[in-house]
Amino acid sequence: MRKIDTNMTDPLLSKPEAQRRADRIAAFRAELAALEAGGVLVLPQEQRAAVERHHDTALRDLAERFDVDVEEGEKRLSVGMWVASFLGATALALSVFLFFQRFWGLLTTPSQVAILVAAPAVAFGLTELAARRERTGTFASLLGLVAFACFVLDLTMLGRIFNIVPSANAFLAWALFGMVIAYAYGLRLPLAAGVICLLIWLAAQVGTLSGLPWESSLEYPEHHILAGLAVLAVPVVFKHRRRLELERVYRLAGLFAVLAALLWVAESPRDSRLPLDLENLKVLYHVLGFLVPAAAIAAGLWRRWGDMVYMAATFFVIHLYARFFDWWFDWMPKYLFFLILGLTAVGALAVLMRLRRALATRRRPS
Amino acid sequence: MKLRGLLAGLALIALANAAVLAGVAWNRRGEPDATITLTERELQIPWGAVNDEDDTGLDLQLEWNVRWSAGGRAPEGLPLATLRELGFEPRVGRKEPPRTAWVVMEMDGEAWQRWVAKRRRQVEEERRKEPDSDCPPGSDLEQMLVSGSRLVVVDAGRDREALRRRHPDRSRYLVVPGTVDAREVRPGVFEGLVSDLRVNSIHVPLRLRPALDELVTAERMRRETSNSAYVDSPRYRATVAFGRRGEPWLVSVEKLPAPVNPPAGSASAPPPAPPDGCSG
Repeated sequence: MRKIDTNMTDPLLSKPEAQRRADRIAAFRAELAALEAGGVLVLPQEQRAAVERHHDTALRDLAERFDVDVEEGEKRLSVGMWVASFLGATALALSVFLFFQRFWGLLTTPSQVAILVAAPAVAFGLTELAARRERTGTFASLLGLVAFACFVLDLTMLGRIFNIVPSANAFLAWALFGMVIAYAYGLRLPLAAGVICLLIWLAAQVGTLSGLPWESSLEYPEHHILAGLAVLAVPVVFKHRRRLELERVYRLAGLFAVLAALLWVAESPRDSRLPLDLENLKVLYHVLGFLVPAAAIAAGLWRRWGDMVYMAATFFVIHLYARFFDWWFDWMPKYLFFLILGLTAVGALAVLMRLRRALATRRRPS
Repeated sequence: MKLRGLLAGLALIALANAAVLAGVAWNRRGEPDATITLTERELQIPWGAVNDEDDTGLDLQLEWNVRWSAGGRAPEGLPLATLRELGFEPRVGRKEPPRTAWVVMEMDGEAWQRWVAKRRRQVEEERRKEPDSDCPPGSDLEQMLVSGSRLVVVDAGRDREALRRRHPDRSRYLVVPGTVDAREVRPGVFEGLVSDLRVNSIHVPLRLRPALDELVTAERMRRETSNSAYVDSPRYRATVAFGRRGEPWLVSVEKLPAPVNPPAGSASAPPPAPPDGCSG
């Protein structure tokens, strides 16, 4: 556990860590006020003033360097800004695509190539400019996603202009670009876009090794399971000591790929590439459909990764409902079937509440 | 970190684009692997180009004869030996994933003639069986002869050079990357089918657009004023080169003179019956 300097803010903090520190100060102040009001603890005036001064200085410093939200209202506004930034980036990226599509037929081939190559470079330059000018990273995130979209447009349209055989390697280039933007400015959205491209590239590689066209390779769930496991291994191999918020993106994207592919093959075992007969495949994937989310829940509790626990629990419940449907829907009276579903939902809620408490207990500092 | 990130990003953009453009230059270097003349029968203006005014680019769709052509009556499929060479191990009741392969397509050659002759015999046989039918067979044959693509798949394999040695005429045989599927045509009998070409449309650069733009505009106006969507006689021909990677590019496009007597199915004649039977 890294020590936190209590006299001043750590100069190497990242923005999410700075926000957590500001949240801790706010929680401490609220609790102290409650204790004082209840007469449980009353600090001497001098000590109280010293703590107040120290926290004020720390908050000012955090706000200045990381633009953290000190008040609850500011936090809500930040979430709003993040949503607006995501929607804005999507709309701008779409507009870049449509703008190019509207006019590219009127341009000569050299002009088309020049525009396509310049677009991501210019957008990336603007991302750098935005990151220097404002500390919140909102505009940098927006422009980073636009740069990513321009790079996707660039390689896609070059493929169309020169009639190139489509290659999965374009996804590797996009994945690397998303990662470069993300690590340069600490942005999660470009990383999420990059990790999705990485998942597609990895799944494509599994099939192409056995002679399949890469597009067909994406039609087999086992390829996505292997790709998801590889992405889950990224933060294990490359430790994120400073950028924990980026590590989370690999974990969630990798886990989603594994669990979604398991659900898919459990529902449609014909899509499997394993050389087993249909009945054995069904049994195998129905069992794995429960075991893997359960293992992910256990791992999430152990490592105190709440998001992993919730995602795995959701897939576990979906899988459970799908199996109930397979086993009972046809022969069971419908009222009984839905009663069982309802009771299961109540049971799932109880389990989730226990998981929540377990997570909270594990999170509590010793 | 930020400056390093910026430099890494710009380097990545430059590298990726350089790799793509170097691949294009390599494909087009030296003598093309094949240079072939196709008409509108094989290279069609796609529906989207006429309808979507928001996309000013134009790609011509490469049409070739596949199993579902001409009312389900297809040219020969690829033999089992070819499937085995591609790594298929066909077994009854088991679906195998498709494979990438080099595909040989013949333009207006023996395979096409054999197919037409076979279809003609089938039509004559059908007419003999039902001489008084309200729905005379063979409308698909007429359409096939006027507007059907004459590109027919004749071979496939993993070794491109070997395929080229077997089919040396570079003005008639294309060796291009494609996707092959194994199909069980009858219980226990398998044959190969080219389900897709890796490049199935060819971009038209600005310098070759005028002749085609005229047709697209005329087609748009015709569709606004007429209900008929049938245009049968080819209106242009194009020379297409295929490079070292089997990637094509347009060399020239020229308009063809309009036929003196429009064939059945053209804009001024009633549309032909659909290939699978009479419309009623």
